[in-house]
Amino acid sequence: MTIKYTIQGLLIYLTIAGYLSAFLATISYKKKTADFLYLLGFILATVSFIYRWYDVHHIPFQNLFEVFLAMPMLIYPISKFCKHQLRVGNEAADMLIAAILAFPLGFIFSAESNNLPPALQIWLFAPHVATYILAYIVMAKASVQAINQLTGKTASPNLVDYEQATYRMICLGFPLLTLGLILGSYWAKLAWGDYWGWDPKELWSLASWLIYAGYLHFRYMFGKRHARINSSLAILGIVIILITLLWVNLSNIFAGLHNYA
Amino acid sequence: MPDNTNKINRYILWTTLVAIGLLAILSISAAFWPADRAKQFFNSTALAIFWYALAVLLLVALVGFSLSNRKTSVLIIHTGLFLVIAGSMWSSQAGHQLAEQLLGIKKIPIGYMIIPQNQSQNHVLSKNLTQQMGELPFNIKLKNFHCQYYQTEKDSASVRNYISEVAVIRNGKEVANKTIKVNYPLHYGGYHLYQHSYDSEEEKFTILMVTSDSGLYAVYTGYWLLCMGVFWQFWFRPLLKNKA
Repeated sequence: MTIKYTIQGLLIYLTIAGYLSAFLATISYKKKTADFLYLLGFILATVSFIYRWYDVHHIPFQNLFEVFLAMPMLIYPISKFCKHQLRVGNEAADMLIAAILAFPLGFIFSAESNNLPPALQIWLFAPHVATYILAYIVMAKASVQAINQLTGKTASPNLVDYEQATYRMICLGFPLLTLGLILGSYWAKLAWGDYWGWDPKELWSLASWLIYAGYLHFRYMFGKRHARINSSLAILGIVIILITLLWVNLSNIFAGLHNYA
Repeated sequence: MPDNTNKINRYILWTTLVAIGLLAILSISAAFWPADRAKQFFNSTALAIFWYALAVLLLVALVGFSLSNRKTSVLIIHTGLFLVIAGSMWSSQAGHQLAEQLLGIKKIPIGYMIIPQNQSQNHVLSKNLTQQMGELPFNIKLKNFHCQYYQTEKDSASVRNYISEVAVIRNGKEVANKTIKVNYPLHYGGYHLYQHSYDSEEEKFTILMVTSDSGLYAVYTGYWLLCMGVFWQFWFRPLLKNKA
């Protein structure tokens, strides 16, 4: 645990404070205050991301620090879109997830920046990482809905039920997951000479794609008849995604090609 | 599942669930291995049978479901997946051997070339650069190799780019020119040539990686179809339904 005595660090701590207090306000039913703090958290996260971009002179998607920096910023618009367009709620969970994601930024990850190695100097870099970040946030929302379904909660009447909400989130996230995988494969062909290299990160990401593909087939077969299995698959998906995201970075046991992100 | 879906489709779906589950388990297990061991495993005879079965399953599903469930987007997704699997089988080592035995097409699936400054070369070597893999039907001439650096001190950590300026020579004539960099390979005569490595001491030679493009465009077509299909099915179809 280290504390960052920098402008970047200060912005991160303020982001955590904003999202966390928004969460606390939500669970104590202070809706107006919560709305304001949620927006504040989003603005701080955005400023933090733009500051980093300006600081390192390239889109900050290079390492785990930078990828985690983008996530608390993108949660807010996704959360609002899902609530108003898809009637999938649970903003409190989104606020908490944003604060949890910002936590390692402030206390664990190193903020050191590197020059972009030759393999990352291509237009595919930004869309490949961005689609995955969006997909992962949406799938995290799916797993929150799935947990709600499993614990037997009932959704508020202006929202769809939790089983349906899980399905909607996976329908929103699955195309993004597919696009991220394909962009990565196309890029691997250009940079490494092969569109599929069987390295651990590729295999974990394939496994997470397959879990959701399995979910979609299973739900097509049985609909809501086995709702608990549907929800369990959605939760298994986010577990595999978490491993995919952290695998190469945190376990230095196996060397893969994906050693920059 | 709608009650009128026939028995065959139910069998197809169950087989699909088993195939997806099996592949997920295999992927997770192989993720604990180094990439070359995983690659070997997924290219083994046992897995070749699995890929073949998966391709057949996709074909059967395409026929079965096009008769009962006429959702174009679903058909596009699965046609794309079929092309990806068929294309990668064709582009594999075994696919290349099969193409040589059955069709007499002799291509090197993958190899490496060392080319010194101002010299031309068509010999392709193995990964450790000791064994001869064969010859390309054309020569590659290295006109110039150089590195670009981020800072003035030239160490490997600050390399901005590796650049090989090459020419393709066929029957003694220069037929193409290209600046090969990381992410920017040369495509010529059924092969892709990549900037792979270089002489880090004196920058006197370059090492290029050579890969055959057999099956690649089937895979890319599959990617396009898969991508269009999933966005159509999960994003645009519900959107249009809500509007209507």
